Amino acid sequence: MSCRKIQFLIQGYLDGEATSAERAAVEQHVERCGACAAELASSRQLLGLLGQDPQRSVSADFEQNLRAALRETRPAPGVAAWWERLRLQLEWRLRVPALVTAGSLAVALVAGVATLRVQDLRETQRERQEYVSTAVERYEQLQQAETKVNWDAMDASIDLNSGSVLTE
Amino acid sequence: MTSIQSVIAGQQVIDSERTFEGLVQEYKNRIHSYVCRMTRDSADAEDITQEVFIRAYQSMSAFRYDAAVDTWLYRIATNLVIDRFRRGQRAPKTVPTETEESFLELPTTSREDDPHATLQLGELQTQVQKAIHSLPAKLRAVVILHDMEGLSYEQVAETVGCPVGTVKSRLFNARLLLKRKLQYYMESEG
Repeated sequence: MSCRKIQFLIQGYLDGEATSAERAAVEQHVERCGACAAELASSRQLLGLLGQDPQRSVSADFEQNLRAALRETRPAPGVAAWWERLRLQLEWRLRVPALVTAGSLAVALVAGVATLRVQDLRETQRERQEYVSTAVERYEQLQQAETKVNWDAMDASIDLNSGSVLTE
Repeated sequence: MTSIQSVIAGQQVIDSERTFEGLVQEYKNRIHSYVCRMTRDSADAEDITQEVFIRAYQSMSAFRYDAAVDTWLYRIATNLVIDRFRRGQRAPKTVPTETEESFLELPTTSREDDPHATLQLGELQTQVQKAIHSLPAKLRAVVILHDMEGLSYEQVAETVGCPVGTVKSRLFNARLLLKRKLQYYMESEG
């Protein structure tokens, strides 16, 4: 693993956020890499320094001053609660029309799809009927034409007086 | 003496166990320390701390119970500190307007910068606070919240309003800068 990668892992290592595999990788790496070992040491030292910064305390009259300030802001929770109630009401009032609109759109969509589907089926059925009718009509025409042609041909090839077949 | 809770009409309660007064008692010094660290102990740090609890009191009805109370207070404090200095109510040197890139231009400390530096803890602490304060506000908030206030990556992310990955990245950059700035003192101490 590269030194750059290890230096990123050192942060999680010191913060207790590294996985066991990452911890092992850092520990193995710093055993043979002086630069990363120094990096680990300086990071540890920095955290020690930051941890030594003393906590500050508020002054003795802090709470007294806060009480005085809160007295002046007493209406605020009522106002906040009033706004909160208004917000909730508005949210609900906006939510109901939104739900109705969404429901209407869904119904319209389903109805539209169903209508198109029915129209499509009707169209297909009508085309099929037209096709069959046309085919039957065509067949009958062919039958008639064929019959007619045969008879005409036969008439032309037969000597009507003798009944013998004429040859060309 | 009138308790804070008796001042508040309607007995504001954070949850079944914790009253607003208890909240103040528990967090006043932690929040004050955070504000001091963010503002380098500015003169109005206590005013800001007081304002944090007033804002908390005002927005208790909107408090989300899935959020931790300390994270909520730190978030209010962070916003107040940034707002306060953005309005220019304090010295320009504390205005958190630097970009994250600008920190790379910050000078490191050296023996020439402070030839009379001592290794005493008081002096070292001063240098640490100075180095922290030289960081851009985004990096400063993250390093203070994590390394000094003891918040987890997730809590810091919730406080400053960014992903955990961004917190890690900012923390890495902040520590890198602090090590550069404190190099001389750390070598002396080490």
